[in-house]
Amino acid sequence: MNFSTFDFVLWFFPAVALLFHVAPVKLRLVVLLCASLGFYGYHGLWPLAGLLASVLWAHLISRWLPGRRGIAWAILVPLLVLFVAKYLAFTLDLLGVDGRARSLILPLLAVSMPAGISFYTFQLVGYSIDRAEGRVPDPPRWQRLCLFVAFFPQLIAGPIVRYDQVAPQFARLTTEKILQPNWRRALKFVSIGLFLKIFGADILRGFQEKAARADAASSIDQLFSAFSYSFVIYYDFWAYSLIAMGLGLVFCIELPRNFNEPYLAVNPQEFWRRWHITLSSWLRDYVYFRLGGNHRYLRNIFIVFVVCGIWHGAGLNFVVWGAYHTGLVVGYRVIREHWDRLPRHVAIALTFGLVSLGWPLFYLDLPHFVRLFASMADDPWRAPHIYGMSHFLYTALVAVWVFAARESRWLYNARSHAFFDAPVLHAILTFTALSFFSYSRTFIYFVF
Amino acid sequence: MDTIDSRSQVRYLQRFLAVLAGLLGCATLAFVAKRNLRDLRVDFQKHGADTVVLIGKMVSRSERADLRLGFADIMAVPRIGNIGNHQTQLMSEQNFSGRSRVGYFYNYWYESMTLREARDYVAFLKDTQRLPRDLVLISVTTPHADNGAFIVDHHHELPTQLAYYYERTRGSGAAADLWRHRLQMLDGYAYKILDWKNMIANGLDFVVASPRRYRVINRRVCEREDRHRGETRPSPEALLLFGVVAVPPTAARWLSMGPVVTAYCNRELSMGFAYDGSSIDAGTGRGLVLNQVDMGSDNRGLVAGDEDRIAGYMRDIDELLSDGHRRVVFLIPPVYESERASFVDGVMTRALDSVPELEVVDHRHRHAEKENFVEYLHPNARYFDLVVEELRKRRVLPPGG
Repeated sequence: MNFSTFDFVLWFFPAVALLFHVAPVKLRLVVLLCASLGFYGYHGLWPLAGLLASVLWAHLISRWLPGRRGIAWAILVPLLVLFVAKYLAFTLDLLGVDGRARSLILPLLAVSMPAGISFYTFQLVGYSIDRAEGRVPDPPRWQRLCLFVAFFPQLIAGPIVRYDQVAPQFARLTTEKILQPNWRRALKFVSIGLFLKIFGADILRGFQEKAARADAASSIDQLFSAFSYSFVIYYDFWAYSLIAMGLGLVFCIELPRNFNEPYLAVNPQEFWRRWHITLSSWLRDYVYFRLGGNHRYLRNIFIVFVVCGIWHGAGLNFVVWGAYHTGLVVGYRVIREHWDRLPRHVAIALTFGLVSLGWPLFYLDLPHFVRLFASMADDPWRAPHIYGMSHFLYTALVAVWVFAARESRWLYNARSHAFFDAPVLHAILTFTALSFFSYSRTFIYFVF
Repeated sequence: MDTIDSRSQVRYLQRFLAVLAGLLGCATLAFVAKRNLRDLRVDFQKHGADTVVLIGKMVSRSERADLRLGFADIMAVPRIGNIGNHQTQLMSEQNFSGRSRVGYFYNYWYESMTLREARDYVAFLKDTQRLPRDLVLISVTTPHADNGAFIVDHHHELPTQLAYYYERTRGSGAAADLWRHRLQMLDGYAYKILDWKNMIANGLDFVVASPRRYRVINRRVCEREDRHRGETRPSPEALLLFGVVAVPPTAARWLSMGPVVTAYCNRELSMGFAYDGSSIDAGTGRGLVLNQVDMGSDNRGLVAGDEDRIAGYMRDIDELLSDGHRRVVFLIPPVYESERASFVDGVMTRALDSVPELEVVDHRHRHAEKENFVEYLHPNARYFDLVVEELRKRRVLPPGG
């Protein structure tokens, strides 16, 4: 179920919120768990079965084989499910396996990738490691572990949370008689998230796709399409994360922040501290440090970014995207002394430009990606054929908001802001978003 | 967790809900109070084959469907009918005989009608005994028109009476199904009430009388010198509306039907329907772009297994229409593209392979015939000549075609 649909906003979410707040203390987590499983099972029972099997396995192993010896076993099934659903076909392609061999495993290849599988698998793997290494001392009940993985506000596209971040909050729900959600913050996040998902991502995406693979597109069209995708993917994911945080607050669960104005980063290294923060920190803690951290920097950073790329999708384009970011981060380290002397605005523009040049790998395969840049170089000054002034103006508006908005003052502000915290504004934004739901698209990260 | 002042939080929540409820209430009121264009029973053949129904500005897609359904309720049943989406909007009587005549062909096309919605429409026409007599063409959205979308899904744009009609009238009757349909209908109402285009249309209709929002003309009016007289003045209702909100009369004129008639007569881009239901919009001037729609994996409208749904819908439609005399042909028009394989195309191919007993004109391979398109996904009148030619070869056309 997509957040930006009538099904969710008008029926599912209000019903669950109401049930949760009127339910007896003991049943609050049950309400949340049932709602979360219903949310995930809405479009198919097989993905739900896969999720439940992964959770059950991790739960049983963490009980039967406590300690480090259980890690490999605990993460085996979740990773296997992820591999079959997401990487099997790609692996067969890489190995050049022919049709006859494929026909033997056709039922496996026919499985559609369950939404959000990469997110919940990483959460489960993180839990298994934390449990084995003693950061989760008491084994949780199966239902609570299941809710940790399936909690519907963040199930499909994160933020990726650690068990110790939410466990105390779950516990509070079962003990505190009266819950007082921070409605102001919750509805502010949901309304602004919905509004910018539609106007910052979905409408712009409609423009962006016009030239993505059109043969008639000129260099300027292509360049516009590539750069506008930077805003599309940012607002698509940023909005999802913000809505997830807002929904979490309605149930008195505080989810971690996933973005910190990433396009204002002054270098590629800082970009990764601001973009998809929960994935970056997961990779840092569970991959980079375990490989030795800075001890073998070049090798380890390369592995981390390739894992990051493959996590996003099964394809060589994602591997190349990972390698590209390795190049950016390592390159920055090499010329750091010179780079850091750049004026702040130049450094931001340069970082944004370099990051943006990599985004087309998210929607183009490698041959198309190469062709994109070749065609741009071929005739760089050909006038736009697909886009007009209205497209440029709209994108400029979105861009201005990206670079001028200060989230610490307007969004995550501690003191109430007369305009950005006004209930009237939030109601109008929600209503406006609802009335433009026909432009709504599935969140890009749902397929990751 | 933040420190929370409970009283201010409750006050905030009350205000938020009050404003949101107020806005939703206004939108609902406009929807409830407006007149359904279907009830006007507009006659698309008032002036015989010279009739043109021009559509004014700010008439939503749902309303256009209502208007057309109103005519479908009263028209004489045609011999041939086409039920499909906007890809087939230019299919007209001219394609069959090269001339204009009333009663042989009618194009029931509707903007984004999916195969599933076509099934609803066919079931509705059958129950109201208004099915075309000899041949029904069911046009299926080309998989590459929108990356597999608008084939098995549902878009709430058809009139409410038609939404989920097949499931409602021929479903299992199980309680779970009934509840599912009720929820789906609620979703449809939400769209009709809240979608911004519908909201504006509903709001305008609340203030401006419905007949001012479309005009049935005799196309020969364009030959008259004085056709502008009395046409370009804004309607009193439009003046009243814009007077209230203090917008200059030019805006009111923009809303009135006069400029729409003028634009039609000047052969400029106009929205409207001919007497046979086909679109008068030739779709020129928007450019023909090869491979305009991306076939990426992140936004597919079909998933593995949808081949069974497609085949199922086709069989249902065939069963509804078959009566021993009437012929049924499924048409898949091409889009303007280079040779490109895709997942969604594969789903459609497998679906068609599983229904060999049905008559299908699959024209996806004609994708490179540039002369047959006005736009990427809109074949032109010339293409529909080819379709009729093929129908003739297959001997499914009734006499006179």
